[in-house]
Order: sequence, then C-alpha cells, then structure tokens
Amino acid sequence: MGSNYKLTYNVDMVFCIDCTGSMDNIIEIVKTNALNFYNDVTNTMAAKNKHITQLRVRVVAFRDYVADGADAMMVTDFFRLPQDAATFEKCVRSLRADGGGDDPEDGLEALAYAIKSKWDTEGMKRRQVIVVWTDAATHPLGFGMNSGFYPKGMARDIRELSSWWGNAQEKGLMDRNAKRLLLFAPDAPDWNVISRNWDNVLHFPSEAGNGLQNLDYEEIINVIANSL
Amino acid sequence: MKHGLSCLFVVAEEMVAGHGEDSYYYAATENRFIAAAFDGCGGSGSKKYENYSKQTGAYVASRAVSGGVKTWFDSGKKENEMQSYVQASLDVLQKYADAGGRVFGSLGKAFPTTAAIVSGNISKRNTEITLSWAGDSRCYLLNANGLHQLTSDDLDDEDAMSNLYNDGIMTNVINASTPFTLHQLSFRLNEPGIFIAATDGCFGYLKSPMEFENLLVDSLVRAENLQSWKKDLNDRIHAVTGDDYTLTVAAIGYASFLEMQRSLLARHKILNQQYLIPDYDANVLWQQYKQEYSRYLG
Repeated sequence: MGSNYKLTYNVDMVFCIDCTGSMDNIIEIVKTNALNFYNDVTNTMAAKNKHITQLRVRVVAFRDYVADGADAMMVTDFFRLPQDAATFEKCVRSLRADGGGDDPEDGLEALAYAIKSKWDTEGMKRRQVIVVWTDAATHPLGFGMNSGFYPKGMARDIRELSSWWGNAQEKGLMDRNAKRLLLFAPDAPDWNVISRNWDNVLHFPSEAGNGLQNLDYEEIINVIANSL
Repeated sequence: MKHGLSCLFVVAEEMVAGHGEDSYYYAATENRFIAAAFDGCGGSGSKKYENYSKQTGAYVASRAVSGGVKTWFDSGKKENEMQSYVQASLDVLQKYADAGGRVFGSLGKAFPTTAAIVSGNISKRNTEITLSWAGDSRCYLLNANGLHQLTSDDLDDEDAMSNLYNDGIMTNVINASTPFTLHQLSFRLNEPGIFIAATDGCFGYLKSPMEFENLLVDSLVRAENLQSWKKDLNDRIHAVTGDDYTLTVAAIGYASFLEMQRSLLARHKILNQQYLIPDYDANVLWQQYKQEYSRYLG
C-alpha cells in the first residue's frame, strides 16, 4: 500500500514589492512578513500534512523608471530557503520605501521580470507563485522607456505581457497548472485588467493610497498556503 | 439482487481542528437515500468573513450548500430541483456577507465549494440513482468489476491519473459570484454496488487510482464488520492525505456485510495480481486499468 508515499511540493515564489514612498507606513511590515514567510508557510503546510521539498523565493522590488532611474528595479536570483536565509534576510532588510514620483508605479515591469523567472520544472507537484504587494495603480508598459535604465526585451504592452502569462490557447512562459498570481493591490488599472482577464489570478483589493493595512497577514499566509 | 440500502455512513476528518473546509450530508428514509460530500475551495474561497465568525468563504460555503441539499432532501422534491435549493443557500450567504469580503480574479469566487452527491429512490422492483456534482469531488461505484469513477471532474486536465500530479484548475464550481452547473445523471441500478461520494482528500494523495481502489477493497475484505471497515478506512486515508477528507458510502443491494465482502474477493485478487505489482510503473498499468475504471465516463 501507499502508506509510505507522500506527495512532495517544489515551490517557487516571486515577491514583487512596491518600494515607493507611499509604502513607507507598511514596508517594515511587508519586510517582516517576508522574513517570517518560510516558517509561516511551512508550518501552515505541515499542519495540513503537506510537505514542501524545496522552497525558493525571489524578490523584485519596484518603483518608477522615470522618477527613480537606476533605483527603479531591484531583481534578485532565487534564494533557496532555509539554506540561503541569511542572504535573503540581508536583501529584504535593504529594502526602503522612497521615490516613486507620480501615483502610478512600474508594477507591470516588475510582473514581467517575475513571469520570466527561471522556474523549477522538477518535483512531484509544482507551484510557481507570484505575489504582488502594492498600493498603487500601474503605468502602461513602456512608460519609462526613455529612461536610460529601462530594460531591453521588456513586454511592449499589456497584450504581450498577457501572452507571457499565457492562457488556454497560448502556452505562456510558466507552467499552466502550477502558476498562480496573487495580487495584493488596488482595484485600479492595470491590476484590475489583469484580474479580470488572466487565468489563475486571485486579487485581494487594497485601498489605493492607503497601504495594505486592511489585509490581515494571517489571511495572506493562508491564501498562499491554500494556493500551494 | 435485494433492492434496498445495505449500509450508509461517512468517514471524515479535518486537517486543522475547527477549520475544516469539507462538509457532508447523509440520510435515508424508507424509500430514499442520499450520500453527499462537499469541499469548500480553500484557495479561491480563502477570504475571511467577519459576519461568519471570521471563517473563510470556503468553510462557510460547504456547510451552507450541505444545508441546502438537506433542505432539498427533506422537501421530497425531485432531483432536478436540487440546484435551486443550492442556489438559495448561496443567496442567503451573499445576503448576510460583510461588504469587505470581495475577492477578484479568475480564481476569486464568493463561497466556492465542490459537491458530489449520490441520491436514490428505492422500490421493491428497482433502484433509481441520481448523481449530482460540481468541481473535483467525485462519485464512484465499487462493484465486483472494480472501482468506477462516475462523474467527470470539472478540471482543466486529462484524467484521474494525470491530475494526481498536475493539479488542473477547476472549470466549474458551486459559488455565489459566477454561474455554475450542478451536473446531474440518472440511471437504474441492476446489480449490487457500493456508491461513494468523496472529496479529493480521499483520493488525491495516493500514487494512482489503483491505490485508491485497493484502499477501499483491501480495507473491506479484511474488516470484521461494518464498524471496523469504517474505522480502517479512516485510518488509511488519515495516513496518506494532506487535506480534509470526506467519504460518504451508500451500499445498495447486499443482503449482509459478509455478502458485500464476498462480492469483492475476486476483484481483490485481480487488483493485487495485476495492478499493484511492487515497483510497477503506475502510468503503464493505468493505461490498462482505466478501461474499466472510466467505462461510465462520457
């Protein structure tokens, strides 16, 4: 019988974190949550008798190419947790909330970086999860392309970014069954365009300009654990 | 075949006490019975509601819909009216939900739950069975020919084997915010059989569908009596699962527990000789096994 048989999970997560000035009142909370994340998720999973074989986390910190130039985007490789916990902590603690210029931010570029991650394709069960934390609407893709720091090979528009995500007809860059997008973002363009049109999306609307205080951390952890 | 209900019971457990998102309902009268399992969808229904004791939409939905199905059963109305009772239970949930409970996105649904329901009308001459379902919970028939999945999963995936590893996305689920279908299928039962309504916590953490059949059959043929079968089923599922689980069982047409056991002895042997070979390639065996397992699927 299969009593010794246990399903195991390989989980890749990318945190896209808005680090502009308006996030000032909650950035420390987001950072603390990110650092507690490994223990919280594995404990929640273990309580459900689910065992993560490998958990990798990547950070994409974003602002605004026009306003912040070289500081507009900070992208890391995947950290393997708990092995790389010290480096991951150093990275997360370095995040600070400032800049951003106008109200919308370059969240779509951050999402594009996340989608193009080098996802793990091994393991019995896989999850490829992107989590976006922001209190702002997005600029259209390419808004900051006149900045000398704007990345080459970026999706030209939301249509191309949608094709990177994929759908039932178009494969996309991520595993169709493993991918999940969790948006902790306002009900504002283009987050609401994405949540209305892309598959495998959960969007918890936050109040624009008022941080993410109305979202309970325990609930977020449960959302993520239940998405695995 | 002796027309009538031979046994009716449930095996269920929560992974986290007080927060289980499964629910069930089973009941019988002189000439009707029902065995139903519901699985609140924890991912899409993870929003907590202040007005519902800070429980999740998934937790509340499976219980409310179970209650709606109970109300339908008690009303004595025909199966084709069941969906209106399910809808009514969701309408009540929506009406009293706090406004802050909105979740957007293709996975974000208000009060989502699966359902797998076996109901039957029994007369002296025959037994009419109706299956009602939505989502990835399943109705099965276990008889001398083996285990048969009777309900097609509402999943964006290939079959029962591939879904054990791929976790396809649900394409239809009972919920309060988007249209859904409660599928129904009715037929006449001509031979004894054990009907099972199960949530994926029962079958989704095993290596193959063959392992699930073996869990059921091996447990049954080794049991001393109905109570010990029930306990052993619980122990075996508990040992492998990673989720809340609910298994409701309704056996029809057996004169005794012993007769039910005897009816599966030959199958037990075949299962062990042909489909549970040590170090077997489950995918290869599945190709052969699924011919009978899937014979009632459209």
